[in-house]
Amino acid sequence: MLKKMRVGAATALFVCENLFFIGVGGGLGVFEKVQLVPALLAANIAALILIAVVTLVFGRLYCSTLCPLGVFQDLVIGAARVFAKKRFAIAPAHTTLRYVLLALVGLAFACGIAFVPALVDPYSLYGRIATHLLQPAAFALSNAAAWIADRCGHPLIFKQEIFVRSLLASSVAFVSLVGVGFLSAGWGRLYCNTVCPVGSLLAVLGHRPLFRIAIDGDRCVGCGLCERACKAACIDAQARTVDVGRCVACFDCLGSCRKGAIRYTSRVARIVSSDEASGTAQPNGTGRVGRRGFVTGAAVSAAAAAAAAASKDGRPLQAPESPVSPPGSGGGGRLLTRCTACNLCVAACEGGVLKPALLEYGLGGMMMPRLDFSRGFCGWDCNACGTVCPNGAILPLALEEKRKTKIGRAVYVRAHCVLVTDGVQTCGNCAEHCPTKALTLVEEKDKKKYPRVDENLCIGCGACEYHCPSKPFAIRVVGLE
Amino acid sequence: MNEHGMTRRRTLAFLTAGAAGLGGSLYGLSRAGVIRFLDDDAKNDDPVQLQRLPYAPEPGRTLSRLGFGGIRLPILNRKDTEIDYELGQKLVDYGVRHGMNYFDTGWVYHHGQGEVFYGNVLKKYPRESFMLADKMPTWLVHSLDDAKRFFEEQLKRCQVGYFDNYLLHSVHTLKEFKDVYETMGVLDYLNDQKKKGRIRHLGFSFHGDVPLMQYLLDHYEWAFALIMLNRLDWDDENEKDPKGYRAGTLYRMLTAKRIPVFVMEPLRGGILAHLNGKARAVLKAAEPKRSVASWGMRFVASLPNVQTVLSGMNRLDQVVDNVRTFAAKFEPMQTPERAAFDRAIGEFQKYPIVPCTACRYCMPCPYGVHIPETFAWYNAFAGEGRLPADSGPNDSQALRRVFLVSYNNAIPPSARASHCISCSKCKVACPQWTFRIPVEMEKIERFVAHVRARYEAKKSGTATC
Repeated sequence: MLKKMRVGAATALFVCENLFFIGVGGGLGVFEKVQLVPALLAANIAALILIAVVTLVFGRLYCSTLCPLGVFQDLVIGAARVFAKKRFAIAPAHTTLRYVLLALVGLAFACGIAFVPALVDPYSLYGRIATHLLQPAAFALSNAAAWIADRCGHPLIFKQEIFVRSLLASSVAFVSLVGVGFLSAGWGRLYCNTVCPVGSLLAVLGHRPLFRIAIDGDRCVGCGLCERACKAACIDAQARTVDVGRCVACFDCLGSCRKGAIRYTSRVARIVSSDEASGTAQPNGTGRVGRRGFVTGAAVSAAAAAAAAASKDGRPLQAPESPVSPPGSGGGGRLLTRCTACNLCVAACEGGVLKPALLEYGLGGMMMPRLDFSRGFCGWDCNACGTVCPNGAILPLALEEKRKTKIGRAVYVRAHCVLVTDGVQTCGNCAEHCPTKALTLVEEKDKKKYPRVDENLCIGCGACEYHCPSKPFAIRVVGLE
Repeated sequence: MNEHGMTRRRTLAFLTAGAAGLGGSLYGLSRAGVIRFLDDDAKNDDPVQLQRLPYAPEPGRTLSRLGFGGIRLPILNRKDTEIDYELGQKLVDYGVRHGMNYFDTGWVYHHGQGEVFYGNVLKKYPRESFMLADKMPTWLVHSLDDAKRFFEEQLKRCQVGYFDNYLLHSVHTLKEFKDVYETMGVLDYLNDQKKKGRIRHLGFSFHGDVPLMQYLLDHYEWAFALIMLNRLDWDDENEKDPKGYRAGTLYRMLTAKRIPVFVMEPLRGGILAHLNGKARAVLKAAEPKRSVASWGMRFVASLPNVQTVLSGMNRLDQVVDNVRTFAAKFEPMQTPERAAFDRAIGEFQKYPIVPCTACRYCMPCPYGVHIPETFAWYNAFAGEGRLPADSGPNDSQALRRVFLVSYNNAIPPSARASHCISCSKCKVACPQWTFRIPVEMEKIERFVAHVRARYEAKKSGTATC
């Protein structure tokens, strides 16, 4: 029953999260906003309290329902169980490694190398899979439908352009997909219990929850069925113990026991008072090691944060020309302290102008959104990126406000302009498409009209660059910093 | 798009019905099906023969009423330069079998590959058995040497020692004519070639206006002329305030000089094969079994001084239909038929379209705009009276959506009207002077933007309600 509820909730949440990434379903973004790392970065207190309370009461239910990467892994594990008859066994916890990794992630973030947390944060990791692999697949399907509709004489579906937005982000998404899929098919939730920073944080919070899985020593015959069902590899059937810190509350074990010896039960109930000490929290003393590991990790990360604060430059490795960052991001500097490169904004961008950065923001800002005007420009009537961003990295702006937000400035390079290079008499395509009339055409001695940029009016939307016929562009939008 | 499918289906149905006379049946329109059809037709001992008329400049010679147009040959991989030789050869063979003996090409057709194609596929026939026409690309000639180079290259490409008909291609302004043919001396050069026997007959293809025609006829002797002639460009003798090309006037001027008229664009780039729903209904009511295209074809072929009608030969249904229309038993159009046709044209002209014939001389656009495709898309709405409007029956959100979706799906983003910078390079290449590509592009861009704004406004309006 519990398992069915968990599966039901997980399925519903997973579908909603994916639909939102694909671009279907307006109000579904709320599930992206209650992801742990985004909520932390956005200082979303309500979401944090909710996650904390749920974890303190029910254990790491988060990892089995809300986390898209967790549910994705459960799908892989389910497939491995069905097709490869996959069974699990108790494995030692890599507790020290786990907290050192957590500390390193925290350290990297504190040093402004947001790329590292972005790489391992489960929501962002899955977000890139959804943006760069799932969305194109969904587009291909909808384009096929559009083609059929067109052929039937009822053009009702807009065809979408499918292209590789960023080789880096697409490759990272693909490698993550294969890597995490491979890990989960072979070792269950090893990623969640070793690498994942969210898993580590929740393990600390939920290592002694109110409700947790426990084995009734009187009923248990030590058959090991529960151990083999446990994808978190946290049940030791011989010792009859459960490492609750690693348990993701999937309830798969409950149905596996034929004696009714394993239960999801309240700590207060103390069904097996005699076995309490060895029965739940501390198999092979992992609980203690866990605490020790966490303390070590916390110390390392505190030291690192102090070191980072001491070195004044938060972004030591930055490219020389500043990129254009999305409206509401407050520029690249602020973006890098909030963004985890889930690329949801990239998926949602209607103009197709947001792309994951390569090195434009420096090494630390890889895969974070920047504006690239080769295939589109920032739409006058669009504020999607800010509305969808769960991290608060791109703040939601009302359309009126967004239209006034300056994200870059247009620079005109006459030497590249078709009026000079192609010998044409008229162009002015940049001015024609400028929504703020920041570009005006001024006739010069040769009777040709050349564009002039009014810096005060230009918001850097890039309509001019996108519509510029020159190669290389004669009018370019550059970042403000 | 719907209309397109309907015509094709109807044409197919009609063809299948009339196919017995052609000794074959259609297997559908896939390439393999077309080839099977042509192969089957080749086994027929008694193919339908096209009507032939004597050619006055060359006594004893007869020309088929239908000529093989070389501008829209079957292509591979959607690339204009990759001609489908297997299919093309079979189409030419088909034409020859049915009595076709006039083949027309030009320097620019398929970016030069059109001439090469004829050279390769016609060499198996005796040179005297067919007439080959080629053209001097007027707008590409910047010096006499250019012209010489073009002419020599053309003979090589076509693998022939002489051209039967040679034309000054697309004469459309007096200034250009004088610059190229008089000042540069290209006309003298071509007359020399005529004396040498490398050109049998010299003529011109015409895209200009009445005064220019007058100039050409007053100052020079011409063996023949190729003009754009079709019902849409036709003007009657006493017509008040005629607009457009005034093809009727041009035809009458040539006829008065006893110059045989060759016809291009008999269907105005296919417009007359589609018309619109209402016009088709009129034609169907008058002659249920005949194709829409056959009306336009019969109209031009019924003019007594029309020698040969050129038609693009890339679609089998069209070719078969044309052969049927121009068969030996051809009888000119009579008054009731003409009246029905005029009624249909009246219905069609209620909804103005961009009169692009999709000749593609404008392509490739240096800035990537898909010019003929954009016009074709626009015309599909304009011609049927289905352009979204701010009031009246076309003030419909559903129609706006269909309009925007079909634009989005028909033209890739980088090839849309918004990328036109009015550089006017297309203006030089476009043989049509009744409209200007950049002007129409700008109109279309504005119109689409307007429809989109209204669509979005209504959409968010209904969302909040």
